[in-house]
Amino acid sequence: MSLRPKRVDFNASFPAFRQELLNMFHSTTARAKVSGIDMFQQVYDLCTSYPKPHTELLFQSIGDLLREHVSGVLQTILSRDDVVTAYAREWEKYRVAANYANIICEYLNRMLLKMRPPFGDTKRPFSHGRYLKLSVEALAFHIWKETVLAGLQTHHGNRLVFQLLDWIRQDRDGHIVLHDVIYNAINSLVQLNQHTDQPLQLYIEMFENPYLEDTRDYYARESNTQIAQDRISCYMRKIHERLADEGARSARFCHPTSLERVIKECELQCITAHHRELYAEFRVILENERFADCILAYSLLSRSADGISAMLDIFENFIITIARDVIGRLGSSLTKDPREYAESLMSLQAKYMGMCDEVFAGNLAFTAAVDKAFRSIVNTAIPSTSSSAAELLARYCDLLLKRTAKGLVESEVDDKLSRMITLFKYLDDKDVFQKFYSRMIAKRLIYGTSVSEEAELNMLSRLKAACGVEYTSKLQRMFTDVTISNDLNVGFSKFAQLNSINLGTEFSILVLTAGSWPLSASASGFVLPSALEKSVSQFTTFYGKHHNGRKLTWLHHLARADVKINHMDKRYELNVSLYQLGVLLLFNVTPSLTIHDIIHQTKLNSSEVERILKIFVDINLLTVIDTQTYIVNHGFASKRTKIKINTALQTETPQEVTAARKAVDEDRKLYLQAAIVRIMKSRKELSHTQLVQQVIDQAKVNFAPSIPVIKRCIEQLIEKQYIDRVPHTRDRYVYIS
Amino acid sequence: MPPKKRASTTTTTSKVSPRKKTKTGTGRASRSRASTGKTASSELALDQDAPKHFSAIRCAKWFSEYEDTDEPGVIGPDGVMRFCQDLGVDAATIEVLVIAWKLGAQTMGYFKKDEWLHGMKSLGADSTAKLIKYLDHFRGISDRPEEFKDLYMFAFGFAKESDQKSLSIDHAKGMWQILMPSDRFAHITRFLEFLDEERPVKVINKDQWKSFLEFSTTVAENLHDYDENSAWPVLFDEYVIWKKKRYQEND
Repeated sequence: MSLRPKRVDFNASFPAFRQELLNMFHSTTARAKVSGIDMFQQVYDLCTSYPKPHTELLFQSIGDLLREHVSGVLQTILSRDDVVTAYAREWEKYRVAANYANIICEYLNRMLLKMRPPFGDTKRPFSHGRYLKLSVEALAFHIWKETVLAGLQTHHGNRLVFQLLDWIRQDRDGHIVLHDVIYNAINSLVQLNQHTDQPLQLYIEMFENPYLEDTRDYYARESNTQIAQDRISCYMRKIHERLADEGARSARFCHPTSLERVIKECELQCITAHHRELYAEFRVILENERFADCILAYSLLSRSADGISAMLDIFENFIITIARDVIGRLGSSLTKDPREYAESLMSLQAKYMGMCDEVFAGNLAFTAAVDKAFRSIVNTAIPSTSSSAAELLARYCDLLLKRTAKGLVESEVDDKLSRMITLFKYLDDKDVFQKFYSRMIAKRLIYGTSVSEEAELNMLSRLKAACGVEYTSKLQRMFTDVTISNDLNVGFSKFAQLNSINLGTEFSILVLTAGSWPLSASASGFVLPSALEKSVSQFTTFYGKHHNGRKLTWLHHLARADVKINHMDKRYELNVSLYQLGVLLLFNVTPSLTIHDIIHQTKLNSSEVERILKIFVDINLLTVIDTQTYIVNHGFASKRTKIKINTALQTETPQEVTAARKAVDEDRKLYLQAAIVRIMKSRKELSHTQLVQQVIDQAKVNFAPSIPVIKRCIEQLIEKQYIDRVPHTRDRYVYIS
Repeated sequence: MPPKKRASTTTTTSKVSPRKKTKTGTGRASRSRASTGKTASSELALDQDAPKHFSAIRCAKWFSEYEDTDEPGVIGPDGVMRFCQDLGVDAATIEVLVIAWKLGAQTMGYFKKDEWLHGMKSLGADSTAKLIKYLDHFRGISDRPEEFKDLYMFAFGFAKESDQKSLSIDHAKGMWQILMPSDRFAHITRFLEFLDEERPVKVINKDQWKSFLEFSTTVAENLHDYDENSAWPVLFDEYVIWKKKRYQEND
């Protein structure tokens, strides 16, 4: 073997090489009798011969040879009925041979590479000579394309693709087909184009496009028959399997890039085309709570881009309908006992939130839909009652936090309250909740009816976490007042001991910060019973010493007293209001009294006195003689020795509720006006829409202000000359400093 | 431009303002331009004429004709009525309102002597006969938007009780009827109907008053361009809702 170039006669040496090459292409096994090393030498010699190398000629002659060979192959393929198998077999042989030929002609390839212009125009592969002078393999593939594929396609009704599609169809229908053969045949289309700048073009044009079309037709037909035959849930299950199969099929036969397109085609036909039926079914599934089907529906419908949004609407509306039904069933009873209202909403909320995780794969859009649904539920007026959700929830908290006979375990209370907070967060009118909550907590604190201080404080910190410090500052203040008052009482009794003051009664007091408590002085006057005068005046002195300049306003109408009755069959102890005590103590002095006497001596108004007397008469403690005069009934008897006299004070009156609602409206107006002035002061000039938006943003924590209310506030401020409209413009305001 | 047309335009305007028109333009356009120009020119005419013919003594005498016998220095409601009769106009007309405005009168139904003397002097009028000449011009004030706006805003302060911030609804309605003839201001009839039927307010504040002129001049009669998200006072939102509901079938 020599590398020295020598003179070679092409016509003399080529035939031997040609025969060897042909052997390679003809042999059924790759390792035929080929004298590999000789062939290398021959290629080398031909390409280096002088005076003129035969590179070009060699390349062209190989081309001619392959062309001749391949037309034979085409005839072989066409002679079979089973074109695909024949094609795949021949192709495999040809591909392997071409690969070997390429290796043998390595030197030729290298020479070809050199011959190409340095800035080769790859866009025009055939500009110079007959073939793209890339490599022998490229040449071989090109000839195959030109002859076999073109021949099959143009002259024989595209039998190859036709049969391929037919086989795949059979595969879909569950018949057994030759997977490898199909894959090889299809893959040949990818391999054939690997030396061009658009490697997938041939595959897409020849196979993928018709395949997609075929898929479309197949599934259009299939889904239509299936949906007509079966219940939708069965249909969904089938489609689900079909889609998985189709994914696997595509991976088995096609180029990876096709997967997405094929699946999309299936989805269009099986899901999008029938989305109306599927959505209708989704609603039924929700109603029947068939969660397995629900998962199925979600996994199918979430495949298409806008499939989810319609589902979300259905889901949201469904929740709203369910909740409205529940509320509707409660009727007007929910005002009295909001327990069921709150608890059924809480459990619905928990249920559907859970469903988001389990069924909808924790998809945030679905969680948001649940939120949206509940926001709409708690913020729309409840038809059967004038109470709003905010009111009901506040009352629900009161029920939980108030100590009652059949009290709940503390952990239970805590658990319920923490779930209540999730509903609370949906409320727009948080200020309404706050108003009612503060009224009720005031009563709990004053009358000491809380379940426990810990439970109250836990609830407060939850509200604080949800709405911020400002929201709970007054409530917090109330707690502090109660704590300070405890210390004050201890201090006061020490003070009394030190100064050896005999108060004659036990005396305990709550000093409450004005403004933090939703309380106001009573309209009716009251003369303090003489037994208590000393205590009150001593306390005033005591308090004045410690807190100079603070003014005490006595809220007698909220005070309660324990009083012992000594001259009955037993020693009874009555728990009464201070007003009631005032009336009772009068009977210590005079055995019989008329209403007028009582009004005159207590200075209470007549309706109050009548109410008090009625209660005592009802429990038989007082007796009426000749309609206007009352005496103590000495025959009074009761099973219990401790008797608590009910007062209207501890339960809410309708007037109080209306007053509270009105107070909320007033507070809102002030809040909005303050917000507008604050914003305008810092921004100086703003457009109407900007101002309204900023006001809404600021108010959001407490309530959702309506635009007319905001506008009214703006107008009031214009009237009060805090702000003005910018002259000659519409829709702009300016701050007047 | 054909000279014929120009000539005709000039004659129509020259009645009120003798200044020569140099503007050219086709029918409508030149008319409207002429009418805006009129304001300035007529004002000018009054000012120029004033010193020539005006006599302060005659003017003071003229005042005393209507002066209240019980309250010297003031023309009271009776005097004003007589004054209007002499002018040949009803007291509740825009002409009288313009006079009050020109005189800078503070209270409806009263002219003070200094208001009268000062105001009449600036008008150049010292007798009923002279003042009558201006009435046509006064009547045409609604064609002069800028001037009209001033008059409109004057009317608010003029009509309200001096110790009140806002105008009572009855006074407001009366003023609107005087100021805004329904053939020129599309909304006035329906708006007054709305106020009567719904009684949404007891008083009209300055902002509402001011906004109504703008509302009347900018919002289309069928309300299609009314923007409820805009800064209109709530009263107008309510009016629009009311009107749409009530006249649904007509729109």
